[in-house]
Formats: sequence, C-alpha cells, structure tokens
Amino acid sequence: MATTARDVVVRWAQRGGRALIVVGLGVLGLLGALGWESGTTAVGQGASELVIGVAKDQYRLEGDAAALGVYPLNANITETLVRLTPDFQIIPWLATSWEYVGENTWRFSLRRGVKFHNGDEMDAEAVKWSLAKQQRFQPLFPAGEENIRVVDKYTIEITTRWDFRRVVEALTHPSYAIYSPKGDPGRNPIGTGPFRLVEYRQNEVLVVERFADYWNAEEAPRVDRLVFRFVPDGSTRILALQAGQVDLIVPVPRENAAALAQQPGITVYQAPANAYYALYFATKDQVPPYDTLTDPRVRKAVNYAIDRETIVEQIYSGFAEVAKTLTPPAVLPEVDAGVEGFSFSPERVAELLTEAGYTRGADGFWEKDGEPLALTLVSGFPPASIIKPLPEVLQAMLEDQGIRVRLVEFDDIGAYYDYVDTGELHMVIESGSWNMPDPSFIPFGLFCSCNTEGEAILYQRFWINEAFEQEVMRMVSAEDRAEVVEAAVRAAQILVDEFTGVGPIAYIPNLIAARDEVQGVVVHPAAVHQRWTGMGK
Amino acid sequence: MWRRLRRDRLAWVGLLLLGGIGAAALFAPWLTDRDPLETDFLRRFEPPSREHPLGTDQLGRDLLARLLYGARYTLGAGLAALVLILTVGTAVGLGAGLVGGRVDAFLMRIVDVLLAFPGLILALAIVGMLGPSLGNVLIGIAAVSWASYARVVRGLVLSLREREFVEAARALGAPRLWVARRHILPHVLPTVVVLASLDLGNLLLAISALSFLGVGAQAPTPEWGRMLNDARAFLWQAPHLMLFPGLALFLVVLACNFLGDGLRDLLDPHLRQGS
Amino acid sequence: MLRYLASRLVQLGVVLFAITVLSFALLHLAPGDPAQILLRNQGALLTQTTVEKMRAELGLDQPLPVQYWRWLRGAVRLDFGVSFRTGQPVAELLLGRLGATVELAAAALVLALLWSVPLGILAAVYRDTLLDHASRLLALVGASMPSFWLGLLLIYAFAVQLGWFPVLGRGSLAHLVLPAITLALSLAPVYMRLIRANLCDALREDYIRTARAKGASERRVILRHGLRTALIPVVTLFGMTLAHLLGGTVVVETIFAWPGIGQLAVEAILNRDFPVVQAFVLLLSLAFALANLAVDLFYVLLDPRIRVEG
Repeated sequence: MATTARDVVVRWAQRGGRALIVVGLGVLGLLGALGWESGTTAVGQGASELVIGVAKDQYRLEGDAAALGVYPLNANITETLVRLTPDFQIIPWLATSWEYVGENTWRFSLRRGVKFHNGDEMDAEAVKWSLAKQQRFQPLFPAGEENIRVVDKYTIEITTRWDFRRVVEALTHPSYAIYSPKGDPGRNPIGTGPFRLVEYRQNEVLVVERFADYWNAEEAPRVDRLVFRFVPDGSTRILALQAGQVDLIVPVPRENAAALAQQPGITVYQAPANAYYALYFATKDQVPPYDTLTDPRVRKAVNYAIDRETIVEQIYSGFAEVAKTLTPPAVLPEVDAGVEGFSFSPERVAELLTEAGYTRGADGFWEKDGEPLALTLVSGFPPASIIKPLPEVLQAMLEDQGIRVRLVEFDDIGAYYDYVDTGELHMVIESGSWNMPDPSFIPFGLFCSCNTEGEAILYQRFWINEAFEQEVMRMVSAEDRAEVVEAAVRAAQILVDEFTGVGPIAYIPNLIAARDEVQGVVVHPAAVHQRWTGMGK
Repeated sequence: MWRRLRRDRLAWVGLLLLGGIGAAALFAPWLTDRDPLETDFLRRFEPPSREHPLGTDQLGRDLLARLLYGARYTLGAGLAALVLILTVGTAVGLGAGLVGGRVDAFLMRIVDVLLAFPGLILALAIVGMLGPSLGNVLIGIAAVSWASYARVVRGLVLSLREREFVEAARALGAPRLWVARRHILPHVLPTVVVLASLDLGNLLLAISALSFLGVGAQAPTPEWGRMLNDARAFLWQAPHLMLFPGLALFLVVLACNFLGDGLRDLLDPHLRQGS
Repeated sequence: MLRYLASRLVQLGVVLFAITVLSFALLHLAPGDPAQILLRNQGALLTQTTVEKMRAELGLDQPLPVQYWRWLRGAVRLDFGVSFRTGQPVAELLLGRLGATVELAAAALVLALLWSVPLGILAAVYRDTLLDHASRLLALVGASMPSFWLGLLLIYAFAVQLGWFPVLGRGSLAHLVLPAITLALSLAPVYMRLIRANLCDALREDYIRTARAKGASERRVILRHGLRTALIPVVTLFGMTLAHLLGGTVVVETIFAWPGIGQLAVEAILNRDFPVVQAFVLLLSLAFALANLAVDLFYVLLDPRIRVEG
C-alpha cells in the first residue's frame, strides 16, 4: 500500500513539477514582455548621460500646482525671469532688466529670441500665463492674475496690492518658471531651459535631454541626457552610488556624509549653508499641560540645554555649522553677526528653571508643584526618516539637563501638520531653507499673521509678537537695502534673544555626493535652484 | 496530552527559548549594568567589544542593553495584543453564539468584512488615523485580529449548546448568562487560548512590522522593530545595528512557532491519525 | 447549487455594502478636516475663508448620506476623486502602480511554488521521516523570518557586499530578484504545509483506493481522481495567497523602494491621502470578496465530497 501511494505521488509530482516549470517560464516570459521593454539604459550610441539618484517623487501633476520637472526637483527644463546664483546674487535671466516704476509696480524687459522647446519664441503672453498660474496657486507676493499686465511683446508689468517690495526676490523661485502656454506643466512641461523632458514614470524615473536651441551658449549642457531616478530611502541612495548604479546623489543623508566622504572613489560636495534646523516653541493659544513654554525662562533654558557643538561635530561630522539664528551667514551675514544666540550652559539652565519656580527632584528631573517638567517635541518637517537622529539627540540632551521630553515623530508632512493643529505639543523641530534671497521670506511665512491681508491664519502656534511683526513688515516694504538689513537684524534679535520663540540648532549646507568620474559639480546652496549644465564625466 | 507534548522536541526547544528570552527581559538589569537610553555621542557605531558586547548604536547607546530592555516592549506588546484580541473575540463570539438570530447574523457579517481584508494594511490604516504610538499599534492589530476568534468561539458555543449538560441546565431554568459562565466559557476558553498562542509569533511580527514602518513605538523606546527601522539608515556603515535586533525578533518568533506547532498537533490529533 | 449560489450572492451584497460604508467612513472617522489636509498639501494658507471654500468644493458641507451617495456613484464608475497629494485622479494613480505589484507578486508566487511544491510533495510522500521533519523545520524557520529583516539581510549580502544585484527600485530583471525572493520566502512555508497536508489526505481517500483496486490504470487514477483532489489546494492557495501577498508586498515594497500598490498604500495612509486610501480599501476588499466567492464555488465544482448546505 505505502509503496504504491508513494508511486502515485512521485509521478504526480513529476507531472506537476514539469507543468509548474512550464507555467513558471511562461509567467517569466510574459513579465519580460510586459515589464522590461522600457528600461532606461537604452542610450543612443556615443550619447553621454548622468544618472542622478534623487529623493522621493514629489511632483504635482494637476492644476495650478503642477510643476513636473520643475519643483521641488529642478531638472532645468524651465527657467525664471531672474536667477539666483550659487553666491546668492540675483542676475538677469529671461528678463534682461527691470525697474520699479512707482505705485507698487515693476516693469520687466524680456530677453529676445529665447526659444521654447517647441520652437516658439518666449514672449510677454507666455510670461503672464506662467506667473498667473503660480499666483492662482500659491502667491509669494500679493498680486493676482489681474495685476500682471502685458505692455508689449517683450515687456510685462506687475503691480502688488500693497507696498510689498520683495517681488524681484520672489521671482527667482522656481515656482515662477516660465512655460509655453501650449504645454502642460503637469504632463508635458515646455520651457526654455537647457534640457527638455523626454520621459517620466511616476516614482521611478525622469529623463531629460539636451535642448539643441538653448539660448545661452555659455550654459550649454555638458551631457546629452540626465536620468533622475527616484530613490526615497537615503541609505539606498548611498548604496546605489557606491555600486555605481547612479553617478551622483542629492540629497545626501547628512548623518552619513562624513562616512561617505571617506569612501574611495566618492566625493561629497557642499555649498555654503543656506538652511537650518531649529526648534519652534508653541506659545500662542496653548492650554495646559501644553502651555509650559509660555514662560520665556523655560524657552531660554531649553536653548541653553542644547550642546550645539557636539551636534555639529559628532552627529553631522562637520557637515553643519552651529546656528545662532535662522538666517545663515551666506544668506545675510549681518543677521547672524547681530544676534547673540545661545551656547551650551547647564548652569544657566539651572538658574533659569529655578527662577521659573522649578526644583530638581530626587531623580534629577525638574518639577514644579509635584508635576515634572515634561515637554512634547514633535518632528515631521522634514519627515522623521530624513531628520533623524536629530530629534532623539535633542531629547537625550534635554533629559541630561533634567527636562523630560516626549517625542512624537511623523514620517509625513501632512500628518505632522494635522498633529500640530491639535496643539498637543510644546515645540517642534523643523528645517527651513532659504529658497529666495529675501530676508523676510521665512519670518514672514512662519511667525507672522501679516500675510493674509487682514484675515487671521488658523492654528498659528508660533506667533512671536507685535514688535517682531512690525520689523518683518519693514523688511517687506522697505525700498532701501540698508533698511531691509537693519530690520532683518532687529527681527532676529527679537526672535532669538528677546522673545526666544525659536531654538536655532544648526545651519545646514546642501550636499551632493558624486563618483569621482563626475566633473564640474557645483552645488547650489538652495537645492531647488540646482543647475546641472556644468556637470559631465 | 502532556506526554505527547514532551515527545515533541521542537516544542520544547521553543518553550525553553521563549522562557529564556522572557527571563532575560525580566532580569535585564541584572544581565547588564548599562542604561538602554544613555547616549554617548563620542562612541557611536562601535563594533562589538568587551565593554559593549553587541556594540553601540547611532547615538552611542549600548545595543545589548537596548535589546534586553527592548524584549520587554516586544514581548509585552505581543501579550497585551493577545489579551485584547482574546477578550474582544471571545465576547463577540459568545454573544453571537448565545443570542443567535439577528445579532448573530449582524456580528458574523462584520467578521466576514474584517476577514475579507489583509490585516496588516487595515491595521496600518487604523494606526495611521489614530497617530503613531505602540498603544495605537496594539489597538490597530486587535481591531483586525479578533474576527477569526469570534468565529471559532461562536462555532464552539453552537456545538456546546447542543450538548446534554448545557441543555440540562437550561431545561432546569438556569439563566442564560449563568449557563454561559458556568458551562460554556470554561469549555471554550482553553481551546481559544491555545489557538491564540499559535498566533503569538504572527502577532509579534505584525507589531514589529508596524513599528518598522514608523507608526509604532516612538523614540527612544528600544522596541526591536523600531531599532531595525533606525538601523536601515546605517546599513552599510554599521550592519550590526540591523543584525542583532532582527536576529532577536527572529528567535522569539521562531520559539513561538515551535511551541505553537506542537500545540497545534495537540489540538488536532486528526493530523496524527492513521500513521 | 443555484440556491447556494444565490445565498452566496446575497451574502456578498451585504458584505460589499458594509465595505463601501467602511471605506467611505474612513474619511470621516479620521481626525482632521479633509479640507484642511488638502489645503496643507497644496501649500495654501489656512484661513476661515479658504477652508470653507475648500469644504464646499469637496462637498463636505453636504449631509453625510448625500456625500456617501455621491462618492458611491463616482466609485461605481471608478471615479474616486483626486489624490490630496499629487492632484492626480486616484484611479490613474492606482492603475499606474498596479503593474509593478503584479510583476513582483507573480515572480514571488512562481519562486515560492518552485520551492514549496516539490518540498511539500516530498514531505507528504516520506511522511514522518527525517525529510518530513526537516521540511517542517524549514517551514517554521521561514514563517518566523521577519520579511523586513530578511530584506535588509539580502540587500546587505547581495547588493552591498557582493554587488550582484542592484539595490534600488524597478527596472531590469535583476532588480526583481531580491524583492521577489524576500516575498517568496514568506509565502513558501504556508504553501508547503498546505500542500503536504492536502496530499496526505488525498492519498488516504477511499475513492483513490477503490479506483486503484478496480484495476484502473495509474494514469487514469491520477488524472481522474488524484489531480482533481489535488487541484483544491491550488485553488485554496490562490485564495489565501491574495491576503498574504498583499500584506507581504506592503513591507517588501517599502524596503526595496518598489513602486507598487503596497508602497502607495503605505504612503497614502501615512500621508492621510484619504481618496487613495478609500479607493484602495474598497477595491482590495472587493477583490477579496470576489476571490473568496470564486474559491468557494470552485470547491463545489471540483470536489464531489463537499456537500452543499442550502
């Protein structure tokens, strides 16, 4: 009995096995036919290309927000009227000149003979169309579509609704890219840039190639094609670079940069820091137990409890600088120089907390009325997987000084903001990047209620005070550069030294890591302005 | 019954392993004098040494201490999830089986819906809504896992209801709840507990997976799934950070599964018949 | 048979209704105002005016039943609205990712079967021998392996140290190898045990013995009787696979940055991209419900032993 049973099964297995192999081969063949005809390695003979590993695909493809290949990852498909150079100067680009003609109005003269990728000439109508798209979606200066006027084929005027003077600075932002109205910024962006879109597969790859009729011969691309591969995970990006699957990666996970720089065959490039990590303290509309930081002494104590030197040297191995405020020297040196800032001082922590009525318990932690001094720190912008391990480091440092910290981390910006809206927090750790050369950009956007033309912003937890807001408005409205700088310094002094609404941690540079065969790497301090034309191998 | 379990060597290996890891978690302070939360920024990513038997992590914390104390979170979370699931599953199953009728039909449809969905994804959705924390992970996992127990309990109750002693009790006019407590629960519970312990390994995997995806335990909790997630960023720099927590998790789940496999054979002697 | 089918269909209808309500409710059960989430994702400023405008635009100012009805009407036409995150139609987003998941799942399934079928059969044939015990051990080890850890180990060994396979994303056949192996290793133990158990049962069946006793040729026994019985595990496998596969792909796709549905789901859930989550939940449950129905019906058709109860 047993032997026959085995016999049956063995034969069954033989038949089944054979069938299975046939099925398996069939499926594999089918997959081969389906999946791999579109491999991106099929490059024409002799064509040169750079493969660039980039972060998660964050393009929006629909509506006025659409900016495929433009923002946040700038593939140089499009260009702006004015350009922000790597040394943070504004230079003429698609506009050759501009002037303020009074009554909140600017007049721009456009460059002649600039061709879009479809062969059409760039003109004032295209510029108006492009700027209006951004004004409908997310204006960076107070003007509607109706405030942008075509004067003639090569002249355009912009009028702001109130005395907002930082229009030219705002126009450097890649969101003000100039498109041909015949294209579609979400599916088929047609720009004037040195590269034109060839292929896009969501979350996989974006391919651009040299635009032969590019107007600026001095900036002609060194390679024929750029292949941007989306690799959301930072360590995977590094592995891909080491394995030679990509020539270059951006951004480089900061905490890995030092170790990566030591690898043979790989160079880590950095620009002057133009971004920062900082704590923002929630002081407005906070209810117990989340109102602890409404006491400025506790806010200052938190600042004194952080050992910024150790963070910069040990965690970021020199790929960051100690920050005194939110404006790195490369953006505006006067601000950093004009602020006192905070240095690590356990004595000051103890003094301030004692003054605020706290006593040190037997376990070494501060308490008041039997309640421990415990702060909730939220992280999520940038997502936890990118900013870590910084929140944990801050937690450890504060706990070393007897301040308990509960950490809430989000790996998504939307979920993070939802949580911040609940108000169940004392502070957040965020990163900010100066994508515009306007010293009011970040204070105006983050700590003011002044930017909605009268209507209150909901859930503003990081508001500072009236004096601060006045300085910011002065920065926005001043015509004279010296006055802008003066107001910027004053605002920063209020923000950091006097009110202490923030805890600056580190200034952080934009990093690119490339294999040694890649030449001509110039890192732009602001990643969204990165130019790829000078790079080749 | 015990005699057969004793014969099953794998089950014994599992039991010993699980007991060992449980004891290690319980007696962690005696096994290491290091603090799992104490950072040392000058000694990050150290490979295993005499001072740090498993090396240090990205913040210079002792990895062995983190693993030992972390076992408390990992095992504790698994057991807590088990209790939650058993409570809800048994309650619903008892209710459906005893009350019957429309209530039964309604409850069983809910069970159908839940069973018709990949649990991990639904749990993730629930935790995503509630916000990241280990507690919410337990809620999410329990919310999707009770269904199969409810169904089993209901089945048991239905078969018990026909049994003589229950019918006798009811014929004597005993109240329904009394019958349930006195006659049905004691018969249902052992089976369900054994069934659930078969699942412990899978529960641990699910909890760690959610922590790995970033919605579970929050820093600086040394939960193993979270440690693995943290280790990912340093895969090429410090592979030991990924190796040890993963190994620990694997061993615990393996122990659970060894034990569970032995228990399954006990429950289902039919599989052993005929040989 | 017809009565059975009818009752199953009624049951399916009830389950489907519950699923649509559940999917719809997801948006409203979650904390946070969808209008605000959407505005945030667009980078717009939140003021009373913009929030109210967006609520009206999304139809959130309507009573719930009206909203449900609208949503359902759209869903029937595969119109699930647009993603909060990218602004793309949800259906387009899901379809765009489906290919990658099918590719990964199919490859993993083939790998898992190539490994588990022979082992399962051998274990059944040589029951209670060393080989059977070894295969049981192997299955337990496989089932205990956290797939996220296995994925990291494979990446470290084969991509970092040996450099045999690429580490990122999707592209050539080589990209598929490591994620497919990771997923296959978590599936194979389930299959192996199932095949073994079913085959053990099948071999004991009376009708096979009878057929053989009656002098039927070996081939006839296998074709007419054995194969029929043995098809059942295959069908069951398919039903079980969907749940296991989709659960598995979530983790595996996340580790290997594989641009499939699972990764999309994780992202959408973490993003609170509710239209995508709703559509995902709905379509997945639908696929499940239908697959389970199909499996049950196949059982009835295939197995003469299964009695249909009303």
